[in-house]
Amino acid sequence: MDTDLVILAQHGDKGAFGLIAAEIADRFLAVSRRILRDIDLAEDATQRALLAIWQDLPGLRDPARFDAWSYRLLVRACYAEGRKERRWAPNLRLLPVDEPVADDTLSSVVDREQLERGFRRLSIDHRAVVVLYHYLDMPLDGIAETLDIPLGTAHSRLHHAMRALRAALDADTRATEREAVQ
Amino acid sequence: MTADRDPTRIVRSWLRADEHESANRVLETVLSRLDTTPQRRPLWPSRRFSQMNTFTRIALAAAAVIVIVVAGYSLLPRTAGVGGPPTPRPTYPALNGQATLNGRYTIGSGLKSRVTVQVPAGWSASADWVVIGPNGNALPGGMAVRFYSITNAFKDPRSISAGVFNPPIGPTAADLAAAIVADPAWAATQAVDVTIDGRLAKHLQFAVPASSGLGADGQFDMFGTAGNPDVYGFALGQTFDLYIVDVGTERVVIDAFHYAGTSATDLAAQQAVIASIQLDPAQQGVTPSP
Repeated sequence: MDTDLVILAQHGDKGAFGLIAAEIADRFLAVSRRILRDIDLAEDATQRALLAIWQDLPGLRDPARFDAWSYRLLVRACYAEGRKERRWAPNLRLLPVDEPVADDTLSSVVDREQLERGFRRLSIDHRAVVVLYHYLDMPLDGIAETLDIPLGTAHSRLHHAMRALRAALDADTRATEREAVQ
Repeated sequence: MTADRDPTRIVRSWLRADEHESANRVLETVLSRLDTTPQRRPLWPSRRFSQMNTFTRIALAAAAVIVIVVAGYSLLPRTAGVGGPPTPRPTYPALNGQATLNGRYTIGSGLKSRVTVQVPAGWSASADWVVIGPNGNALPGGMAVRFYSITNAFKDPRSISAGVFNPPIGPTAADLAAAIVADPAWAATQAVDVTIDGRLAKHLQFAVPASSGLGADGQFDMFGTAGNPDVYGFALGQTFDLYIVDVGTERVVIDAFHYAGTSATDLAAQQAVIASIQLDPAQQGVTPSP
């Protein structure tokens, strides 16, 4: 992010903030949608995060660290919206998957459903690490800085989350093998 | 299923499989709420504060409260103006038709008010009252924002021979918005209240009809005096977001136009430009911006 724009926005320049927001909004929505698995909640989280950035920018001590700091606010907003999801929709059901499969690696609709189900069982803490690492390609030390957690914690969250997702996929494999035997 | 599948690759592929999301709606909401969302300004550096002992913290906090009260009291008589900033704003370069812009500029256009706007890199200016997006101001994907003050409007933008409103439209933003909305020839949306730089403004939208929308003079004549359009549309399908705001005694009109082919990114940038506008009323005895 252009630090000059960040400094202008810190001093209340709405135009500069508008340019910053225009640059990051789509990416924020994409990240929050992947964490929350719900477009409405993701839009609310993105809006909450952008307004929090505007409000708290004057307190950002080092404008060069804007990216990590802004993602931290986004993940916090996802926590808040995730709590709303639990409050209002305690009995989640799996929504039908209607997007086209973009890659042969994602070999079946069953995989997607298993991943969706397994991912939703994870806490927001774990989902955030998976999305930052595997979607944004953020290194683990960057994730630790962004989430303000020790590097070891970031590593263990990723390990735990991937183990859970692997188990979800393996469960699918075992079910398929049972069907093949029958 | 095969046993040698790589879960990491599958998860990465799954995360990247969704369609691209557009946050334009969110962005618009956020920008419209900036005026009513104050920034939280720290009174002192928190890290240093946390390292102080309790006595020093209390003493500093008490001193800060005293300073704030005294400063606030001393400023009261000088900040009585409605909607005005507490301190003078810095000066910025005048818009004068620059081929490349990047930064904050002061609008000319004969405005008595001081109007400044933050313009992103890649934009340009046309004269001293129009900023133009990176893809120009013409079809298919252009856009621009124009700033001016007008006294009257044409009754039918597609027929200059119908003349201007008579009696003339009143002097306020609400007067102009009401006249346009009530005139079926404009086919404008209802005006809604928005804020620009903390000032109440009217926002409405209208478009040059996509087929046969221009008048015999090849224009969509909007504002001016009888027979002399000062401001007009010039392309079929050209869509205008009109923001009208009273700045002191002057009615400032800001029109942001685009086309069906204008990209979402450009529209978001245009919204950011609108959100960046700063408005200060003319001061008595002070000449307008050059």
